[in-house]
Amino acid sequence: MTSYELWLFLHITAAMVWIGGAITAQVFGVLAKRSGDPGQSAALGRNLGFVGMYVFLPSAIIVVLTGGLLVEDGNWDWGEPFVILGLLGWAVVVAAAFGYVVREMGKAGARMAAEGPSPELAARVGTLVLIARVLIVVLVAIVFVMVVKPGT
Amino acid sequence: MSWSELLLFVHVSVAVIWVGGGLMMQFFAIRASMSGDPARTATLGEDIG
Repeated sequence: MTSYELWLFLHITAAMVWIGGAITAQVFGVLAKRSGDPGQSAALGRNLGFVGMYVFLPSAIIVVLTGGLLVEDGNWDWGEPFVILGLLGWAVVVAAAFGYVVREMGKAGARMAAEGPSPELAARVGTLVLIARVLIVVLVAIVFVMVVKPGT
Repeated sequence: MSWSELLLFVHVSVAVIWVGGGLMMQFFAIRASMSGDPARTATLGEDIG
């Protein structure tokens, strides 16, 4: 196995954990909302606050680090459109997801743990899940750009 | 975009959902189990099933 193949394996695996996990979290978000039980939304908020920081964030860092190694090892040009679009998309999603959504999700989960679930907090979690949905669309668009590599 | 690229995109996307989703369910299950609340584990089981 070459070092390029190793970076590619780690890059794809980390992207799977991050994007696949986020899509599954969306499904759980829809199910929690449909249940009409604020307690379920509370549990989801707590879970996503934890998973966001300890699973998604490390995965996002591995994705960008191994992506950089792939560019270097594979003799790709840093000016390739798919590299620039990938890095831009990554930066936008990471800033919004870990700078806002995950933090707020953790706060909502902590409030629910302290005050108990309420329709207001359930609605807050619902809004954050909706923002996360937009970020997933951006992530899937990045996957598309990585696969198709327009301009190469 | 060629058919091959389209199929590759679909292939990668569904693999991402399958593998990443499975792993996420494991994390949720561990947290539900650690909470000591049988109702939470039951709800999760219901959602996964």
